[in-house]
Amino acid sequence: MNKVSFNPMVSLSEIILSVSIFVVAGIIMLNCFAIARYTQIRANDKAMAGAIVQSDFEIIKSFDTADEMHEFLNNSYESNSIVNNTYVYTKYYDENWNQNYIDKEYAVTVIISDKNSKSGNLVKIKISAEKEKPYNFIKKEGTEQIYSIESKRFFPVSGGFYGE
Amino acid sequence: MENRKTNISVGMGGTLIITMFVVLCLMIFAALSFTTAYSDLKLAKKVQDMTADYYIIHGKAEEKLAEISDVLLDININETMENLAGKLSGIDGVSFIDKESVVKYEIQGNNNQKISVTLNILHDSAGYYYEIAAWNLSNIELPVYKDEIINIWEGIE
Repeated sequence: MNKVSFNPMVSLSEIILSVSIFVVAGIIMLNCFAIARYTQIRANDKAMAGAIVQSDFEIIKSFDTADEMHEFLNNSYESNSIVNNTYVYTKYYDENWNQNYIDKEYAVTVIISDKNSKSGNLVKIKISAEKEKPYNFIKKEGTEQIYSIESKRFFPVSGGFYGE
Repeated sequence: MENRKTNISVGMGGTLIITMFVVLCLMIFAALSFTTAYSDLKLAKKVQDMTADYYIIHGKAEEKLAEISDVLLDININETMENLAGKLSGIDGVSFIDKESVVKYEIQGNNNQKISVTLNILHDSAGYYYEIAAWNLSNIELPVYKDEIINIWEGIE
């Protein structure tokens, strides 16, 4: 019968050196893996926030009047406030980007300020997505802005429809 | 039966070589995962810049639309076409094409994109109003592609 025996023939100093190299490299690698994970989370958040913000903006763009826009925002956003003719609507999301009022991880805010023109209503719209708690490995306090877009929409009193 | 004994030994320095190999492999994995995540983040930021730029130029186009709408509201229905053309052309960046009663303007962004707007100017008993004929997003400069001429076999004469 064949008998296989393992004879390491290694010195203690070699083992100590190997372990110490592994420990030092392990610390660097774990840091690298952790940074990679949180960078990926940031990238995913940006993509997700972008999709939500753009989707809401396109819905706002599709309305014919400012009243329709406010009705939509009142129905789909959880909190709203009016300060100095500026409307602020906010909705919250959990860590999986599901709309959730209790487990607030992300907030999407729409700020609308009216600028009346003679022939209609020109509104300034700012939609932004924020993270309630800052990301790990980033030294920042308070909320962190993930995505923000700003634009204007003109709602004419008469005319202004799309031709064929 | 004969009893055979085989000795496998990593020898002196073998442990160190194995450790170095494992560490190198893990280092490569760590570097690759970080590179992938970082390039994803860079792409997401680039997309955000392009999107933000698009919405800024869209806002400027809407602002101009409001200016045109204001001018049209002020114009009396009995005013001549020359007067109308003069007032509309007075708006910065807006051109009025007399023959077709069409207003055109362009808003350019920072990231090689522009919005070109064409409005038909119409009127009824109440006054002048506009109809959006075209609202197009396009590139400011298109890349120049070189013509590639390939010599192909044309058959035997």
